[in-house]
Amino acid sequence: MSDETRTAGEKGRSEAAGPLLLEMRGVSKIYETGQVQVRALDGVSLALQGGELVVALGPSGSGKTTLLNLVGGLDRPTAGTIRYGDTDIASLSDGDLGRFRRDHIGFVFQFFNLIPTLTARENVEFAAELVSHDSRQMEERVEELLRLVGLEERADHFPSQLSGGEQQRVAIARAMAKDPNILLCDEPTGNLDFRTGQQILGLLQKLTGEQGKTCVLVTHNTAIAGVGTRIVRLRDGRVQSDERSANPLPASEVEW
Amino acid sequence: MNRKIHLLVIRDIMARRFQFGALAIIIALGIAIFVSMTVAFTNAERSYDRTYEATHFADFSVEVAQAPESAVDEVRELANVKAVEGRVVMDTGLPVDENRLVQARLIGLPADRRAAVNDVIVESGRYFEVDERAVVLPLGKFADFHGYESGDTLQVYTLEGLKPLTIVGTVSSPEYLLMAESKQDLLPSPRRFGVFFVPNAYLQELFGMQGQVNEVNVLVESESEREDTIAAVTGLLEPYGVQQTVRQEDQPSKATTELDLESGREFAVLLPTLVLVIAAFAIYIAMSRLVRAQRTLIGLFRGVGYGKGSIVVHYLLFAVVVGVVGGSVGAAAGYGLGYLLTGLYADALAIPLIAHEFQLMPIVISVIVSLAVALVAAAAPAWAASRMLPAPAMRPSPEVALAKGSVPFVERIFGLGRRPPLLVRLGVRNIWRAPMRSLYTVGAIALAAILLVVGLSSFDSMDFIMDRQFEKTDRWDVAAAFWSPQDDQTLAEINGLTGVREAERLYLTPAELRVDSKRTNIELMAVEEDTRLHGFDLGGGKTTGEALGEGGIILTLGVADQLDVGVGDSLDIATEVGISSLVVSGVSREFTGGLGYVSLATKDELGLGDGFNAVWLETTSPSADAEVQAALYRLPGIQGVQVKEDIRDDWREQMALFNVMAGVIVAFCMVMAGAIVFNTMTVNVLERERETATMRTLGAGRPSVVLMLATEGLTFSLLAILPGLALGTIAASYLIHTWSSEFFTMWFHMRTTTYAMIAVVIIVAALVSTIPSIWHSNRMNLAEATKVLA
Repeated sequence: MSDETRTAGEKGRSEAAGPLLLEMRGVSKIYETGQVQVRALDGVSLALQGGELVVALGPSGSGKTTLLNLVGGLDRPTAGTIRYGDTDIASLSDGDLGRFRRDHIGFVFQFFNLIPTLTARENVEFAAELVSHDSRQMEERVEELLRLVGLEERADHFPSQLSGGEQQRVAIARAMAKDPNILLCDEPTGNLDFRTGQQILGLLQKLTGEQGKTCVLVTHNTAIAGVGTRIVRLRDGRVQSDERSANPLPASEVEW
Repeated sequence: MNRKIHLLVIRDIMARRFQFGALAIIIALGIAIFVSMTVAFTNAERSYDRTYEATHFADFSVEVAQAPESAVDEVRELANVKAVEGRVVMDTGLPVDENRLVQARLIGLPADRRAAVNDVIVESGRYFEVDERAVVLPLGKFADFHGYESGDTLQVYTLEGLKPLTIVGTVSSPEYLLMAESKQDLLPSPRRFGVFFVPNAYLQELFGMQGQVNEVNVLVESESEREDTIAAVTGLLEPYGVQQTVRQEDQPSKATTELDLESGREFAVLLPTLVLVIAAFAIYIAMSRLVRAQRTLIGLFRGVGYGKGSIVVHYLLFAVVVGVVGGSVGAAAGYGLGYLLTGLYADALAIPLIAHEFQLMPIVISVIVSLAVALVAAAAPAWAASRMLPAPAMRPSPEVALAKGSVPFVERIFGLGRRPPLLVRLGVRNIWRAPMRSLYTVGAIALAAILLVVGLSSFDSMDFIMDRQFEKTDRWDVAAAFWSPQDDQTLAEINGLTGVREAERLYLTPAELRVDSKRTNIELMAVEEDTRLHGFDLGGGKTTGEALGEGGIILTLGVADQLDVGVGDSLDIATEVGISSLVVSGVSREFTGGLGYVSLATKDELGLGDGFNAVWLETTSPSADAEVQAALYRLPGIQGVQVKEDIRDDWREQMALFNVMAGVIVAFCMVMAGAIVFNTMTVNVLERERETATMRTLGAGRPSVVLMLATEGLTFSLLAILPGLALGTIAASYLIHTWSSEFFTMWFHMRTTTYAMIAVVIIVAALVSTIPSIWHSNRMNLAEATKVLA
């Protein structure tokens, strides 16, 4: 590991934030497409702490989605380590990665990715069922989350009967249903209008601020960087800057 | 306009090679069945025709008690008679080893020339030489079965005891392509029956018929005037005791093989039609999915200037490739299979002149049909593709993939109590999600089940009917026939044989039944009124004694149906002694057709010969059968002896062949059901790639996904099995009923174990064909798949 990356990783820590959750050290990811090698991430070191809303910013091809995939255990790095507690998730088997995602990670996708044949409540239940064996407790948790995202009245509607914003709120409730420590959001406002996008950002702020969840929000939209407690800029697979914001903007004040 | 987009067709097909492969397989199956059966049956038909032509197969034959050869000369002079041949035909016994005899039919042929009618084809050795006497030409299939060769000597029973005949060659005959003794002989086997051609003059001498014949075979000039010729010939031969007139189409071998060809031809069209309809649906589903998946690409094509026509042609090209590949593979495989089937068919029947002719028409039809099926199926998706507007098509929208959610009716019904687990709900809703596709899938799997029921029930039914025939109808152990009527002394002698428990008298004679313009040839069996050794199934509460005691005739179901008569109806019966009227006193449900039963007393009233000319025997034990058979053959005047267990063994042997056919049917249906489920599941899984990837991303393990997809495949098969079995039963009952003819009557029967086996076969095929989809789901790149839009 280079001194540069170690420094960048250590720079990411803050005494003000919660405990260290996940630490990437010298992580590289090379994709081989035919005879061409694409270095998507190049020696990235980054530490995620509890209660952070990390906005990963960068243009197309900067490596932000690859970063998200590696943190979420959807992919493995070509080099480097990704530690979650005592576990190097880079070395986990497919099955263990699946369990890691199930127990610790919540995903929110740009296109919501709800299961269209399940109602809003059932979509949330689907995720809750993965970690809960107590049906009563699970039902309570699902109702609580639907209330949290303001959809208790629309719980029995199918995705096709919900607006884009409502679908994304269901997706957030689904991601939260497993009570994960880390929430990974890939362009969560990318397919929403401005007002709805504001609502979603506000919800994510609420989850990190009030519930202490760590949220990594990947976007190419610089305008929404202000909502984060930390802004990580990526370029050509490297961390260009990693800044903390003592006073993040309320989502309602963000404009794009 | 640049047509380079069409190059993408091959690339897209290669990228989805398994799915397109499955579509091509379904088309290939349909085409292969059509081509193989058409080629085989056309070859068989031509082979028959060639044989009939080469041997001058008689247009009709008249059996008489005894007619002088001069009568044959008179027949030759009649109008429309092209050729005529008089001959002696005698049934006798032929010992094939120390304890076993077969029934031998000796047929006279001219030694100084070839027969002008009903000639033979020499397969090995040579034909008779002029003035040759004690020589014989057995049918090749009989000689092969018993290992006889030229130079071997056979012994046959004659009026003067055993006489030797030396084999000079082996032959085949147009009358015995199916070596059946009579129309009632439904299980012909060289184990029990053989046909032997002997110089006619020597045969006359052996049976004391010098200058006499008992059969006149006629070839006519004009087919349209045949009935007039038949009337003239029978009129001319009337004084010599006309017993039976057999038209070519009623001749046992010809009629049976013709029935065979007819049902084969129907099957060769019906089955492929069903399979190709299924193929069309499968192509429609796959192409619709492809068009949806390539929505943005279509938008791009339209955006850069490709016209609607180019888009239509582009997507029709997929169908052309599938049609051409499936059609070509099917036609090639079908042609090869057709040749194989022709060979097997010709071997089984020992058809001497096999016509392995090149047939262009099945190939032309295959190419046209496979292309037409594929094009028709792809037309709607291709048209839909051409109607897309460039801008909306290119815009990625998650709404494209968002299926309309709903709670299916079935879930509402079954979910009234405790809600089923989420995975089960998902499985059920996924099936309701694309109802037409699911309906097609269920329908197509049901069709596979229907085909299995139809295919396998014929074997089960035959097995059941044979069991019924051997256990309930034929209760005798050994049956014997005599040359001439016997008296009670012979009966006492038979009853005294070691191993005989009881003997029942019979009188057998050919007869023709006439009702208005309908007529049919039967074997009239006069039996004891209180017969124990034949079980009648009369229905309606009437006992055998009552039915026979009334002086009427009991008809088998096949005969009653053919003549359209029932109990109480009157009919005319023409026998060797004349025409009488009888009332139908019963209709017996029996497998064998072409039989009529009267009491021995009624036989006497009809004026037929005194005494009996056949016996049914009950033996003391099965081990006594062979001994009794040998003892019977030592009796003077014995014509033939049959052991029921031998017939049953022949049946079992034939069933072994059927089992191979059953295996082929099962394999075919499994491949078809598998290809259908594979196609649907592939489309379903591809369509839901993002959902499945999302589930796995959320942490749902592989077993959950496997369970969900397997449940779906299983549900398809479970939904299909019951209607498939029910409709299959209806179709099979109908088909089996239509197979019934004057020769035999069939009933539908299927074992519970066969139903269970079909259910298992369908479930296994469905589950196995789900494996590629499961494999794909487990191997997908989650990061990419969660972004897939359609």
